[in-house]
Amino acid sequence: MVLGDFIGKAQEKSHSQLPASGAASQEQAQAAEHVSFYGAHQSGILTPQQNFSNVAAFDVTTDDVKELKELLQKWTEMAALLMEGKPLAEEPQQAKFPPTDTGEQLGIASSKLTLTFAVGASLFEKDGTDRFGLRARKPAGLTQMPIFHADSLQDQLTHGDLIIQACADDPTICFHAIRNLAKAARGVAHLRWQQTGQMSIKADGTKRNLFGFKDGTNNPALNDEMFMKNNIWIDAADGSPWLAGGSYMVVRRINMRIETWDQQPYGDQEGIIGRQKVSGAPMDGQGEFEQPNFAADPEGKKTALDSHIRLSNPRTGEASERERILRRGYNFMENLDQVGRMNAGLLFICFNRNIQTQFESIQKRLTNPKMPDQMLAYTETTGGGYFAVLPGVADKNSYLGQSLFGA
Amino acid sequence: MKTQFKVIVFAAAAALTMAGCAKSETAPAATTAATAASPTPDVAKVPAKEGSAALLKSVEDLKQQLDQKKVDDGKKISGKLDEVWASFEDEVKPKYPELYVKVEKYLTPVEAGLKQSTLDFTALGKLNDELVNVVKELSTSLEDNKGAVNSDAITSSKELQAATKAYNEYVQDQGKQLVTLLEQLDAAVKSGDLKKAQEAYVQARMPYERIEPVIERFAELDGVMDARVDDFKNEDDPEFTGYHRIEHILFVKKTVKDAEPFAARLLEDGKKMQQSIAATNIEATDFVTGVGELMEEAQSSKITGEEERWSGATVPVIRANVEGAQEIYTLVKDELKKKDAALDEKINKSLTAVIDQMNVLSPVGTTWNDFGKLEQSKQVDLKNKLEALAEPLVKMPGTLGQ
Repeated sequence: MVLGDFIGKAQEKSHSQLPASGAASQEQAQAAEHVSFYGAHQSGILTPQQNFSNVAAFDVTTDDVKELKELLQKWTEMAALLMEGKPLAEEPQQAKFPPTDTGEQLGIASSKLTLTFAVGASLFEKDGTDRFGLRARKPAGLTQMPIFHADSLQDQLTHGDLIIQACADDPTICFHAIRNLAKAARGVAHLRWQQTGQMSIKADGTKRNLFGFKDGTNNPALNDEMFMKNNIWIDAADGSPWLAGGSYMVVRRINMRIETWDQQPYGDQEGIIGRQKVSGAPMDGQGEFEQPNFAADPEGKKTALDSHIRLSNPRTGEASERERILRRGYNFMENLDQVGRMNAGLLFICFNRNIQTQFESIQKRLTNPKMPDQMLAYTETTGGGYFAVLPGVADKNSYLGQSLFGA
Repeated sequence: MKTQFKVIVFAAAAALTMAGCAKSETAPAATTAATAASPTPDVAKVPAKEGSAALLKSVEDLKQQLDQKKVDDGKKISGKLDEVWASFEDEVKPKYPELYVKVEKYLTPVEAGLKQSTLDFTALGKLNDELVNVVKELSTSLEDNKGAVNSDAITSSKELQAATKAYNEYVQDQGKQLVTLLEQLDAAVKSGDLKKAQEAYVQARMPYERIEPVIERFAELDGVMDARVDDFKNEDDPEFTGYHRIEHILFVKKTVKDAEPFAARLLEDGKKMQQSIAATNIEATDFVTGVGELMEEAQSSKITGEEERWSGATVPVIRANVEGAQEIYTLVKDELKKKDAALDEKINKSLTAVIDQMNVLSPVGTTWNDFGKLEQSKQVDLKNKLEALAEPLVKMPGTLGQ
């Protein structure tokens, strides 16, 4: 993350130093704005986190598998264009039809847009029905997100047959992508819920969540290939060969009880999280990246046993390592809720190879009613879902979900 | 209409003031605007392309004079500009409403400014430069025929002409039904039978909603008949009349007596509306573009349940909008099929889906299921199906004009 920031800043600088006539270098600069759509894995997972995101879940309304397939083919074409920063139609568009490309992105650089497409369990089976003849292909690990202790899932913010994560350094670019993909889907798939998120743009180092704490200190390095192979990418041997190269995406819309959190003493806040606020260092250490020594503190005198970081990652060696996930969340800040409280929180997104042995093992510890994460008193998960990220699209002759349909 | 006129007057006055014509009163500008808004009837009409070329030449000539700070005869030039604009503005108005307003925005203060005894060259120069740009834009648009729908293609097709004729008959028929059903509402209210009156209320909404784009041409009457409480002090505001006043009395107060004067008034207004409809002729282009307006109505103001908030008769009124769109589609279907069979199939399929869904949610008949009491997921499902129908349907006018 820190490295990504520096690269971003360096590029900005070189932009402004470009001579106005340097067409070639301008092209180069523009190319740096683009993330490639094609590859063994989809973008938006290992891509250094952009500043904004817009996540949209869809209900598929057709029962014709052909239409579903055509939608994914269409989305493939569109996604490749959108990520290249190209308009979906030539401008000016035909005057007598509504525009194909809505146009609010015109004149804005593509801002490293990434699009990540994933499918929910309900696409394979809904109310016991094999909707598209795909039931047999449903990955065993793709369940419907359960209701964990203290969750208050709202129907219109939860689950979905398809989900798209759009991330970019400009919120308009994210919105434009979701808007146009949704527009192209009408009649076949319709928006079920949608959530925007943002990161602080000019932060130094690890960015902070709305509780005021550094969030993501212990995230794996994005170039750690071994980690990704072990913990993120699904393998053909995992049980659903068609999903090889994909990943599981967990989305949790976590409302933070901002007002009550702000009433907690500073020291208590540090205790609840299990880290020092300013530095991000563990309670028993000095620097942000120092590892806490829980073994030396079996009674939780320094770091409480029910503090957030201790329950999330008890640091028990190999077992804890196997559970680790790749987090890629965003903060959200919206208007007030119906009783006038701040409607803000964390759009938690993570990727992992096995939801049950990774995300759920962690989550079950955090929400264990016998010793819940202290932080749960200040959060309320209102939405989200489990999704299987489709394998990457190799080249122009392939499309999203091709292996799912057995082609 | 009224509102638009006010806007023009205001824009003219504001433009003058902003441009620094502090000395000139706003009154003459307003008078000129009035003249411009209602063009002199005896001006010979010319084709818009010709007219805009002439106007462009006039304003470019004026630019030269203004640049040299030497205007021969301001009043005469002002009159000339007015005349040229009047000779083709009627054609511009429906085709390029935005450009029309823009031309008026600059033309009006220029004309007013030219009539002053001392000319403010700086202000006039700036305004006229804007005017030159707008007229250039207008000329280009006319040259490229960048219109919304190619009306020539529709007008020249015998089949579409016949369809237009049939649609006009449909509209007339709905106008007559409107009066009949408002008479029944009036009678039901007078009879004192609440349930009968409630049913008659919803029935009387139907023809109105089926031809909504036509109704909206008569904005003043529409504003009285279909007013929303949001525009008034409260539900008991004596100014609040029309359908929704009656709806409130019948469904919230649950009395019939209080509705009597409003039902009688609505019937009178309905008769006037029917006369207005009888005197109008829907042109080919307006006819097909009506589908978009109807779908927009259904998807934006109705689907939330707001419009029929007290009666809960949202599905019936959406049904009326869809029926109106379906009528238009049915009339041009054969032509559409020839031009784009896939589009026709899509419309057909999504139309069936919407109608089926509405039948499930609230079957056709004199009674209905309260929309507010339907499960949210079912409301969303109806929204999805309307969206899916609107998507191909709005491509119909453009396709027919190819």
